[in-house]
Amino acid sequence: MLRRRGGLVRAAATTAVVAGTAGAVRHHQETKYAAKDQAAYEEQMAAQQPEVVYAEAPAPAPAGGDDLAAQIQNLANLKAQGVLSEDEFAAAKAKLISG
Amino acid sequence: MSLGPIEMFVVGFPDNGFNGEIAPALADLVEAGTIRVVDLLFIAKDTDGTVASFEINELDDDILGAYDTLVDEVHNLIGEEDVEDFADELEPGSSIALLVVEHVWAKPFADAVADSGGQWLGSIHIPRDVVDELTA
Repeated sequence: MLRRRGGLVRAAATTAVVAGTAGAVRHHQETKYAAKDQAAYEEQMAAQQPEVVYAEAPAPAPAGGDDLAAQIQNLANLKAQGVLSEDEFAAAKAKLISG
Repeated sequence: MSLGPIEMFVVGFPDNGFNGEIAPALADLVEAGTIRVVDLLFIAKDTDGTVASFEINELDDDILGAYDTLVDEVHNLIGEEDVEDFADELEPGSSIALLVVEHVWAKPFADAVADSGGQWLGSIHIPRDVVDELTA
C-alpha cells in the first residue's frame, strides 16, 4: 500500500497547536475541523445533538488583522497537509472572516 | 468512512523479534467489539541503521496468520512522516508495531450520554507513566 505523505501523529499534534492559538470560543469548532477522523466522529455526535456545538457558542471575539491572517494560515496549512478537505477549509475560513 | 475515536498504540520489540504473541489478546478485543484495528504497520531498524517498514501482507506467513484475522480493512491513516519520525527514535536492532485502533465501545457510550441528555465534552488521554507515578 502506498502510504500517505503526511503523518497521523503530526496531524494530531497540529490539532493541539490550532486549538491553542484560537480563542477558547472557537475551541470546539477548531478541534472539530482539525482532525479529520475526530471530525467524522463528532459529526455523528452533532447529528444527534445539533444544538450543542453551534448554538451554545457565544459570538467569537473580533480578531485583529495579524491574528486573523495567522489563523487562516493555520487552516491553509491543515488543508495542505490533507487534514482539512476543501469544503471544511472553506467553511472554517468563512467562519474566521465573518467572526 | 466513519470511524469512532481513534488511538495509536506503539508496541516495541527491542530484539527486533516481530512475533504473533500479542495477536490473541487483540483478537479477543476485536471479537468482543471493544476495538477495531483500522491500520497496522511494522517498522524495523537493522543493526546497521537501515530502516524498513512492513505492511501486514508483507509479514512472514507464520506471523501474518496471527495478525491477518485482526484487521478487517486497513485504512491509510499512518503516513510516511510517521514512519520517518518513529524510525528516527528507534534503536538499531529493534522494531515497533504501530496499531491504529478505533474505540468501538465509545459509540454506544456516546449514544447513552446523548440519550440521557448529557453532553460529551471531551476525553483526555492520561499517559501510562503518569498513572504509574501517581499510583506508585
